[in-house]
Amino acid sequence: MLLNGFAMGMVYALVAMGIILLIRAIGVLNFAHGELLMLGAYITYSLLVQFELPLYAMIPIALIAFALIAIIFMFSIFWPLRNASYPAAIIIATMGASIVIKELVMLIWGGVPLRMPPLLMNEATGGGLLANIAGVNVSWQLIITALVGLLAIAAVFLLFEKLYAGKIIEAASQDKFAAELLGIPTIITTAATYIISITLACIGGFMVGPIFTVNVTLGTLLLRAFAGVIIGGLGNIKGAIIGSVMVGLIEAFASVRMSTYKDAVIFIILLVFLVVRPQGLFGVKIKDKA
Amino acid sequence: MNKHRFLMVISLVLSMALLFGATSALAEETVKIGLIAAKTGERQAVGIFSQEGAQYAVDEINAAGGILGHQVELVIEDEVDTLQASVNAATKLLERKDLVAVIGSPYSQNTLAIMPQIEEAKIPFITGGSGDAIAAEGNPYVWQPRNLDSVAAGAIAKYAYEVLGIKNPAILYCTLPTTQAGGFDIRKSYQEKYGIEIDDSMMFGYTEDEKNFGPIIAQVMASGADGILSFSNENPHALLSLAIADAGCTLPRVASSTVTSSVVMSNAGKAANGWIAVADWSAFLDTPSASAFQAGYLAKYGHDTERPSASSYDSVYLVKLACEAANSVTDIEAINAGFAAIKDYPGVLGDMTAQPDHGYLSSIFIVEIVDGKAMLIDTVQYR
Repeated sequence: MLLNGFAMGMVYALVAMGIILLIRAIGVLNFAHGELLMLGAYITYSLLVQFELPLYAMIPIALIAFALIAIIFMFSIFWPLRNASYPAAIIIATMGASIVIKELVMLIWGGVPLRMPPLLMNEATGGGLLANIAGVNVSWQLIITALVGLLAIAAVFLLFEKLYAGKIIEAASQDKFAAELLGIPTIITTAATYIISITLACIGGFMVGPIFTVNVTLGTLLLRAFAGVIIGGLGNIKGAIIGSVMVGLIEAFASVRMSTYKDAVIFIILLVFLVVRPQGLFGVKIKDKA
Repeated sequence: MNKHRFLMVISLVLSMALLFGATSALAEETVKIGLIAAKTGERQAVGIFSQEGAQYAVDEINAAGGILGHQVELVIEDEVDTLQASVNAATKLLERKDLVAVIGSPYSQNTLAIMPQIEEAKIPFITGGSGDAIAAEGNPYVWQPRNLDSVAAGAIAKYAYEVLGIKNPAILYCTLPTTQAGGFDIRKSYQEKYGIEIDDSMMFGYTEDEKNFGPIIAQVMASGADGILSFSNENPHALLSLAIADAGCTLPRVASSTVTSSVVMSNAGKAANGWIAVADWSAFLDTPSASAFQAGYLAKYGHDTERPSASSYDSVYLVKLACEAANSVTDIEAINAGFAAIKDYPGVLGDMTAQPDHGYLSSIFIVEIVDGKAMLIDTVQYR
């Protein structure tokens, strides 16, 4: 249960990080992020199952596809509305985009759930291969999901903390005008943010596909990632990761004796945070000035 | 004289024309049967089977001369995958004045939501659902060709306890009203028939959109349960099967009929093997009507039958029998009364005779999933 909660927390963290990156870069809460995760699952399903590509060939093609989706998403949703006088216009557009993506997926792949085999499969049982850790059987798919999540998180931290490119993206997101005065092409930094953000969500889709099957309801995972973002502190990547892992663990352990109400438990805790500590665990409290 | 002969010829020609026209009009006046099925959305797979089964029956009936000389036509409305969409689809059909009957959704809650509308529309409604609550409503226009959930739950408990020796089961159920009732009916059967009280801690409910069954299975394995009894729908059963395989859980398991669906077989693959199911249909039954239906259906559509195909197939035939009993395709009240007169119809789901609770079946099948196929183990006669 601990590993299940942690692995799911990692998936929520991938989505939550993407949400935070977009909020920080362009100030947009992307309500289509769950559907982008779902799209990632369908694309990797097609490459692995329909085109029967080996994993080493699938990964670079999938990453290119994720980047293309991000660019298309940015130029069709964000770019036309970037100067809109009504600030909620882009947010509403992302809501519309979530519906469009879901319907497109249903048109292309149909509404029937699809089976994506686990990365390490037990041919005898039809389930994932199991690892025995301290006498407990644990699915390798969960272990790999947790490891991929950790790797992706490490890569994002490396980019923003250690690499010059990350500093440029960070600078452009903090002050677009000043960044442009310094010659930083903000269209490229914005595109890079979209690519990183949406790729993270799509990787999450690839990891959960074998566990949850590839289906059009995968987008609902967004709600848990949102809960992680709010518990961790809106706008804080570290907080979003910790908040998401907390949500994953709460979800796993809340099913003890109250499996029926485990979703309710998560959202009750979210409500408590909104009332008692609205800035989240790592957020900064902002007070209105008189 | 010539004038008289001329008038006679004209009269004869006109009479012939009128007679021919009337006959043509009669043949053109098709009998329309409404069908609520998912054509899009997550439940599309189930909906396709419903449509195929009904269309197969319609084609057979039309090839044999139709109903009382009238060709039959299906009017299909898409219930997508939500209760609201299903209610909308049902409303559209019930508001039409040209249908002799409506074949409903395979999901009980979708039928329960429109019970007052059915009674108001006064159109015979053959539900695809198996919920006890449907029968309990006592709606005079609703007919139920499937076995009730309480019957299935009782059979699950009976097989689990008496054959598999499961004394301390973990009961897993989807929290939709009808499947939840099924889960609690299993518990009740254990208590009433075998004197075994099942503790709350052994009852595991989950919502229909639950995806992460890992923690639930981990708890089941740690609970000391000696078997898993499940009452749920297709998609949760697929994910549950995968989670059971992923956890390396080898507990014996018995489930409601949806575990035998193609959604489970295709998504869970080998992980579906080993389920025992209490089902009202299997593609591998050996009764003459079921075998013929399976063979013809496979030849026509290129894949095996499913429970929704069998249910909607029988539903169309029930409409035919009701019309024939009423000797009418227009007197809806007489047709509704005709449903109560159906006796000893050798349906593909089993022999059917109208019962006071508006049900038709008296037996239920026990199947085991072996290599992705639901193989018949036993047939239980319950009334």
